[in-house]
Amino acid sequence: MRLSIEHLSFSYGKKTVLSDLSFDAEGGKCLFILGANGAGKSTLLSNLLLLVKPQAGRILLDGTDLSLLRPSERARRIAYVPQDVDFPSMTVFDAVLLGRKPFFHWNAKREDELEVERVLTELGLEQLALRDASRLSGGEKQMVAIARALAQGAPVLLMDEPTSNLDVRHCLSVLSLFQKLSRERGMAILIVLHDLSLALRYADEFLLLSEGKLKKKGEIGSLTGEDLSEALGVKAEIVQVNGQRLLHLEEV
Amino acid sequence: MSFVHAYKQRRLRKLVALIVLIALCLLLSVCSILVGASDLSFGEVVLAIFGVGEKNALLAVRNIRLPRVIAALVAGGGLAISGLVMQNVLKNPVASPSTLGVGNAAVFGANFAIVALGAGAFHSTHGNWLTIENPYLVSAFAFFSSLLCVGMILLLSSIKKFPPSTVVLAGVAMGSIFQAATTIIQYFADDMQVASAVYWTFGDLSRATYREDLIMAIVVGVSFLYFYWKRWDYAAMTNGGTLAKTLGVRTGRVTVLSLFLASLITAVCVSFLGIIGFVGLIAPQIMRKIVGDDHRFLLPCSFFCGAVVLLVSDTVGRLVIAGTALPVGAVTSLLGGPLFLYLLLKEKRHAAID
Repeated sequence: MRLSIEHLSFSYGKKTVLSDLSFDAEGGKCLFILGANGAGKSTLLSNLLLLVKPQAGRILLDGTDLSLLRPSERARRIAYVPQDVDFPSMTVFDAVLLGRKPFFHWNAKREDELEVERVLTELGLEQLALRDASRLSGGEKQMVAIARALAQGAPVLLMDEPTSNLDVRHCLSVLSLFQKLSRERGMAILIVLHDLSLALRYADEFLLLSEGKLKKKGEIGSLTGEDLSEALGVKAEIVQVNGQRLLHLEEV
Repeated sequence: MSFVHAYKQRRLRKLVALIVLIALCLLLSVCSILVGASDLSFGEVVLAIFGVGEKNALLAVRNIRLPRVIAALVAGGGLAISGLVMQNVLKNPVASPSTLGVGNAAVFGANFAIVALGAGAFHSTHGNWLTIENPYLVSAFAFFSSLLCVGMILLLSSIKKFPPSTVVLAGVAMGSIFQAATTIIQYFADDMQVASAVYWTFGDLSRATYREDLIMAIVVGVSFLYFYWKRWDYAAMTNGGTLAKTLGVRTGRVTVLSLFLASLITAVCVSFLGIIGFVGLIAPQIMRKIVGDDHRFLLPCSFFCGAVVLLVSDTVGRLVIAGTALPVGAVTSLLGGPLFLYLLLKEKRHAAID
């Protein structure tokens, strides 16, 4: 399974946000998208989801141009966890059941409900199932949004800062879950993340954006302090401690 | 799994709530026919509805009472689902069937027909009653004027891709244009014409015959099916337009079609019956407090809640003063307003069945 982005360009009016991006994201890997504010990370996700129309370029999933698919067929292939998650007054069960929407014809089927049950159990959210989703804490909402995206069962999962509302414990457990999911199910998981330390620890690959251009892409082991310093405007150094690569940051 | 079991239990309770509402609706329909026709028993009314019984009872029930009750059910339910869909799609809890200015546009059309085309007049031969000489002309103008209003708003919003809040503002603007036009027409009209025109705007279910009932039922029925088909789309859209799109919902198309059908219901009801306010606002809100934002149940429950509200209002309006009927539009607000305030006051910020 391979998501290929070919010569993708996008601009808001006259402001070019993405220029001529080409890269592949492969199944079985977690690709972390890194970059400064305004580097085009979220816009890249919007383009991949076809929420906006790319000005140029194509997005292919195993050779199929995503823009040629019907919206529900596309939704079966790409799931999304937005940065700001909010719910109306509905039960968590129903909120997650919405992730099965692309598969509904007239109504939810039994297997859709079984899938919701499975995902909620997998994420340890059983106690939340009947709670009103609009009344959950920020962290709980984020977990429910992740559950909904997983219930969607798509091979490609896009996430915009999925850990922004999570405490340290949930943050680590969610990121290792993504690692596990990508390996076990062969999903391609693309995560926009500002926290570079977490990226160093949990990414398989990284994509470094700077002013809408692809600065560098590769195995996370090949990410150097100089790359980050240039792209983010800080003094970054990656040091090896007990076999782990850790990040040291300073203002310029 | 225990939570799945509990989830299904809850769904069952919502289904029970819906069935209770339907039963209430049927019971109130018979009661509404019963009151006034004092010489008939409950059993006779039920039989007469199905065409069994002596001739006088049949005449009273089938020709006078029944069309009126059907109008209350269809228009009440229709306005309620129209309001619900407006609230959903425009993401605005105070949106109502007339949010896109349909009501004002219909009134303008009616005024134009009555004043400029002379479709209405004062007839002393009918005692003190004002009559509309050519009700179909008035209804037709009201209807097409509403369609013009909605069409323009929807055209503008789909061309310029308005967000919901802008659609609401466009509706307000369009509504006030039609209101101003109505004022100008009335300014140049004579007393009798103004009286006829004002009288026309009072909602009145007695205007409905089987023919009007049938037309309203077709429009409401088709819209209901569409809204029910799209119930999961609305559920997704209440989570935000972006998310709905990533779940495969064609949000633009659903929005425009929903607004069109919701406005069509309103246009038909207002054109035939006059202005009936408030049902479309409160019926969905009442049901939201009982079954929550669960669109599988919210839509049918709102329909029957609206039907009950309008039916009760009409029946009460007929009974308060013997020999005449209060305008049902005013009665809905007089009865519904306090009920709604009561619900707001005792609000637990939770749906009753959630």
